[in-house]
Amino acid sequence: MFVITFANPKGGSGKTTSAMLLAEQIALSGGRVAILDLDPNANILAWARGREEAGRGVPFAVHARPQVEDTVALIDGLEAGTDYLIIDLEGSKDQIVTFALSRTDLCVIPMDGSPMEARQAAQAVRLVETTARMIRSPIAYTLLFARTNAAFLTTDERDVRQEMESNNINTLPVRIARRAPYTRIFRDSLLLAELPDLVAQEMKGKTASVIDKAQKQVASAIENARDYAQAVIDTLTKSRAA
Amino acid sequence: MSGKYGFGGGIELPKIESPKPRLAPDQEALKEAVEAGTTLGFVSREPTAKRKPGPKRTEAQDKVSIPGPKRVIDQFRAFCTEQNVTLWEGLDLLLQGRGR
Repeated sequence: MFVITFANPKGGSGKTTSAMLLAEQIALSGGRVAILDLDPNANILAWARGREEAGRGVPFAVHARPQVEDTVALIDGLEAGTDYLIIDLEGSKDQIVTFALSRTDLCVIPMDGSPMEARQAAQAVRLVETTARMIRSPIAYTLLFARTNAAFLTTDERDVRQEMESNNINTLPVRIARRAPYTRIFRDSLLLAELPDLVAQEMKGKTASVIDKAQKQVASAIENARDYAQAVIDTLTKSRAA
Repeated sequence: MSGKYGFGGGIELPKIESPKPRLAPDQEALKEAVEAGTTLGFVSREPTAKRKPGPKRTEAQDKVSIPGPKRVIDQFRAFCTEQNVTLWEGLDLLLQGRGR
């Protein structure tokens, strides 16, 4: 089992969205995936509950936050039926982050490229490195620019990227842009893959250009999610081979 | 990539061939990692039932915030007022009568 953890002590940095997009892409590709929702906001659990209530299936298991001291046992207990365990952590400096990291193969640290989030991400990097040193086992990590502007690179992001490059901090080659379909999946308990058909139904009777615009938005979101998920899996594979 | 518009395609996952079972965590190393995490500010934020300083109460104290429909909360407050009890005493009263 590969354990992929999403960490950043700052809330709202894109951890939950990045975790969900990755889980869906792995599930669609035939991987046995589960999510451990360690965020007290429990947005992924609410998403799964919403799907069950609507009579739609949940394509992967979603596990709730245990007591802090039971975290490691819960992670290890999921090994039998899971190829990829995705852990969504809470946006705070909680001890549970250390417990989760101690069983992590790859830690993804999402941030939006602003200086505030970069400082918080640096703290997550320090915790990953310290935990790896203490458990005497390497923990791969990569930063992910998430919730960015799809159209251009902001000066903030450019500045943060420069500092990361000069410090040899790994960064995922694909960004996750801020897109309406990524918030809609949580609003309506949907999978990204369900959006093309849904949008086609909703757009019935509209002009061709309006339909085309809406479908392009969804297609871009799916393509971005797929590229991002592939980049995460490639990073994981490379780190395991190293 | 499959499907008319290419939506059906997935990503390429590595083959997982009878993965090696994960090594059991070294409890001592884990303890050290948690301690090191604490020095970086990653501390326990679990609610505790510690006794507060000051006059000792007879048992450990804790608190809970219960967001819910105003209708239910108002009913609960009215019930406590009727019974002339505090909110926790009202909850205790209701819990004692559970299952009836």
